[in-house]
Amino acid sequence: MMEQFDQTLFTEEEPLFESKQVSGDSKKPTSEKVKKPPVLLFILIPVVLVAIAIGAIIFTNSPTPQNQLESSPSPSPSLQTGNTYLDQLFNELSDDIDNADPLENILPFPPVEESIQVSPIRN
Amino acid sequence: MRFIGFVAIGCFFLILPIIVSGQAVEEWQPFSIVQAQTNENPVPTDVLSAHQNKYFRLLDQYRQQEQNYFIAKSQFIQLNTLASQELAVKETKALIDIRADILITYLDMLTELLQRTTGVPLEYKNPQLVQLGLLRDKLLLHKNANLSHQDRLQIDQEAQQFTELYQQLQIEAYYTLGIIRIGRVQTAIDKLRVVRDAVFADVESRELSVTAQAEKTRGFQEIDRSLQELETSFNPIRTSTLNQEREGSLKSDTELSKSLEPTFTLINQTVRFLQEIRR
Repeated sequence: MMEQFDQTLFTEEEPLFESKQVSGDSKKPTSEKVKKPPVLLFILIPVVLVAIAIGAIIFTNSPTPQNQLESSPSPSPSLQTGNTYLDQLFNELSDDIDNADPLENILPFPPVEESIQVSPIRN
Repeated sequence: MRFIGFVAIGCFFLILPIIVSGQAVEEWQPFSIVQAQTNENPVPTDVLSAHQNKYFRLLDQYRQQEQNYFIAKSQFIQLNTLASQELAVKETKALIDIRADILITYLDMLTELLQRTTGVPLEYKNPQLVQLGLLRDKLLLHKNANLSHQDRLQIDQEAQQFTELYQQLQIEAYYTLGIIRIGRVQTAIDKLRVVRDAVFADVESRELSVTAQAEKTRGFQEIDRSLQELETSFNPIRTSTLNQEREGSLKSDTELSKSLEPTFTLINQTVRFLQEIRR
């Protein structure tokens, strides 16, 4: 059955092959049309690529609303940074002072019995 | 022309995924950096807290076992039978074991605290850390010896030897607490100097009137005087504590706290001056 099927396929494809041969004879009119595209192709593809690349660069570098908020100019940026730094220093100092409080009972010695033995302790 | 159109569309669809993936990389990058940072610096498990939890848990166990020990011991004294003696030995050993664990954990906490205290000079800190390590080893030996002994007299002998170790532990513990106190005050004074310089630079950068400038200058003179006074009051206490001129005891720790109070008051006053001059 398979052999028969293959044979039928072969016989069906044969006319198609012939038709290609026939179409090959009439190539001349189309070859003139094909010659033109390479010139345009070499111009158009780089142009499209460059356009896409520029678009991509602009698109990726365009500031998001968040970035715009971040980069909004402050009236005195250096002073603000200085104040933040000073605030941070004062906070650290406050922590250090809290730690240095002499009234703080850091780590008292464990309240455990010194003498633990079975027999009664004789003084 | 149709062919060119197909090529152009093809190029566009070829490049589009590259652009999108590029954006995706850009968007993903901060996340990956954050992830990498968290992987590199994982949130450190607080060793001190872990020791503290263990310490308090052991103290609870100790209090419960102490009751068992007192009951067993009083029964042994009253009845004086072999069975009561056996029970007294068992309960005594259990109590000694928990006591050793408590003291070992206490030394671990002290070691951790001392390591964290930046203001202690290394020539004092490092030998003390070694000393604490040696005491820990001695405690472990004591713990193991206690566990290995079965005889009443052996346990009592070990208990008597422990008395000497206990005294040594107290001395070293209070000395360590003393140098931690000194280190903490030193850290505060060091930071105070950094803040003073930062405030000074901040004030210098401002455009002030002559009167205001003169006022600020006088303020800084007063702050510098306070810092000098701090050195004068703190240095003798620091030297005597670091050089172990005080006996290691609770009394000496209380005395050290009292002697540091004027220094502490002066630190607070200088901070107030700095906050005032900053405005």
